[in-house]
Amino acid sequence: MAKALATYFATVNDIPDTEFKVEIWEDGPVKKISVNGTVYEVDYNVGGDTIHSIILNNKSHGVQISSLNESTYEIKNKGDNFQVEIMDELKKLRLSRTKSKMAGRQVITAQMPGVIQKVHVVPGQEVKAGEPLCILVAMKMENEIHSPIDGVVKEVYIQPADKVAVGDKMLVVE
Amino acid sequence: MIKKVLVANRGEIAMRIFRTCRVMNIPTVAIYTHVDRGALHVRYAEEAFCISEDEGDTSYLKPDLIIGIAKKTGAAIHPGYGFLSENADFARRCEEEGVIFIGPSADIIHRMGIKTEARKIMKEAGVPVVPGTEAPVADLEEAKKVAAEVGYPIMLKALAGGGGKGMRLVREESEIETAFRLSRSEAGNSFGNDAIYIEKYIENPHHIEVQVLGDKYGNVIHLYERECSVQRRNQKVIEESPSPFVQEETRKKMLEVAVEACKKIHYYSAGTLEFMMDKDQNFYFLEMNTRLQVEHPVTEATTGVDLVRDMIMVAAGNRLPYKQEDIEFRGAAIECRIYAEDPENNFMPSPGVIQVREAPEGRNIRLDSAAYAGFEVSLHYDPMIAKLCSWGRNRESAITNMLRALREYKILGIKTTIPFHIRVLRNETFLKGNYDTTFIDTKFDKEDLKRRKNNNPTIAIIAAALKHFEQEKEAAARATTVPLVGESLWKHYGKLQMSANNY
Repeated sequence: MAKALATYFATVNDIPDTEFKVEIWEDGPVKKISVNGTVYEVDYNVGGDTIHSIILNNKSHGVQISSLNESTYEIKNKGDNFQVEIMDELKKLRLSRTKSKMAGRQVITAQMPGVIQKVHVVPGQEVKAGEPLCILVAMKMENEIHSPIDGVVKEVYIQPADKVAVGDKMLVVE
Repeated sequence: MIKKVLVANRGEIAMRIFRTCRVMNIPTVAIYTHVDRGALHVRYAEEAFCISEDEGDTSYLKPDLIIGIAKKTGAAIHPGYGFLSENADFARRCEEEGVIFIGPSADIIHRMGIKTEARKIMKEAGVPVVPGTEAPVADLEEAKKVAAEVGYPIMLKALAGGGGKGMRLVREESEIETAFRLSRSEAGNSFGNDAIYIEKYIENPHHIEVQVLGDKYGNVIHLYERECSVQRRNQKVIEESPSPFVQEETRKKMLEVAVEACKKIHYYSAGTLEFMMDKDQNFYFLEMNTRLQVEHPVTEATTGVDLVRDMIMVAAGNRLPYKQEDIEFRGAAIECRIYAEDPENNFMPSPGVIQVREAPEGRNIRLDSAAYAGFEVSLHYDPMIAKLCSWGRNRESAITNMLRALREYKILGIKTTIPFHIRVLRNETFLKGNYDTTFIDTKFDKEDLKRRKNNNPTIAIIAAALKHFEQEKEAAARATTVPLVGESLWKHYGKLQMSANNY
């Protein structure tokens, strides 16, 4: 077989430990793509900004694609939601290296823009999974941010009255 | 005569009121804050005034400034809901300054704003209120006596209360002694006032309300009821009319009582009486909202009335254009409130820029919204961004219509409660129509939101891979095209070389 135009490795957020190998064989209005070896002929059409039409074996899918970051996409199809991360071989290799180094380290980032009302922990403090770390106020609602793991607070980047944006680092628990 | 209308509000309700003004050929005035400069209501109105003092000022609560603008422009003020809508002082200032306030009298707003006062007025007007004491009970003996009279379970409440402090549910007499002591000390510690009063506890109540409309000449009509029992965090999320729970006889009684009470207190403009109803169809007055309500489109869909139009007409001193017998109730309507919240994540607020918005179209659908693609949902204001309303000849048809509209409704960039509504409208208890205010907590499977109907990710993976592929192609094309004017070619090729080295 000829060489693929592109080879990617896809992971789906809530299907752990499963990797899908995606190869793109032919470009054009109808593209030839294989997922884990099964070849699909995909009719792909962009109408509007991010609402896409995909026809596969005459089954029509009005798919919404939004980019969460440069390699993760949120896909909505017929009311179902998938978060798919796409990596090429190089990135996959790099990730596997950093992953082993950062194992057990949890960086807690702001999931929404807001203002820090209270910080419950100090560096060096032991926390249990589910224990509140800080309170983030957005749209007049107080949101308690909990520790995802049992561990020790390594870094606290925030203090009360700080404004945070989505993705801002708030704390590190290890 | 009202020659111009200023809406002292923002978002969808400002748009809602402006739309009727345009139908009535009345020019409009918008007010806005700095962060709302790009909002839809600002460009829809004929005149617009910024009320922010500086860039960080996000407040719409500027009575003096707003009344000043109204006087300058010669406009009457419609307050919408929230903000200044139930502020009696604001309404009184309008009256004093000769600005028409499109709503009821300042006096009524004031009296209905005090809960115990509203309860007293309604009781005197013949409306059933939750049985209990209005004055605090002196001691345990009196508490026991009152409790026996109203019947267990009862609720002990702090007179100065709020936030659930000093509040205690007592299911039987053996519990009252401890509960009374604890409530007292808690109230004393929290409010410096240990007065406790008793109210009957209504188990699994339904929240049902009656829409009324009156003029300044003593005419009051009702526009039937709305069922608002689908709530989360004591906030309504879905409303419908008629209520699938209320029986015809109860309905008749409830509507009659509401109209009679409003006649007695000389109520004019649009208003809503909220009731709690127990499983045996006993209903009790809860409070009165002296304003236009969020869920008014449900009533407009089933009665054909334009509530904003009638509010403007009444405020201008006109008589109600219809009598009770002119109101014809047709079919059923439902409203879903679309919030910028993540339903999978305990309804956490999700402000941000709306990247894509595809609104539902077609038969029997009404959408009230102030959102557009590119609009930033600000974290400073209420997260409700739209109201979707559907009508059908019967409840089933209204529900199926709503479901298809929800599926057409696409908003990207922020999370919304659209997927939540779809699940509720498929829920068996909801479909049967026998749901109370505990529905979301007890009959609705929140985890279900995270489950998919179809777990096969193939299409999603193909879509993501193709999107990624297209983006890589675009990036590659950008890297090799000649740079924009202004950048030196040497720099351009230098950069190309640098990125080439990275591979």
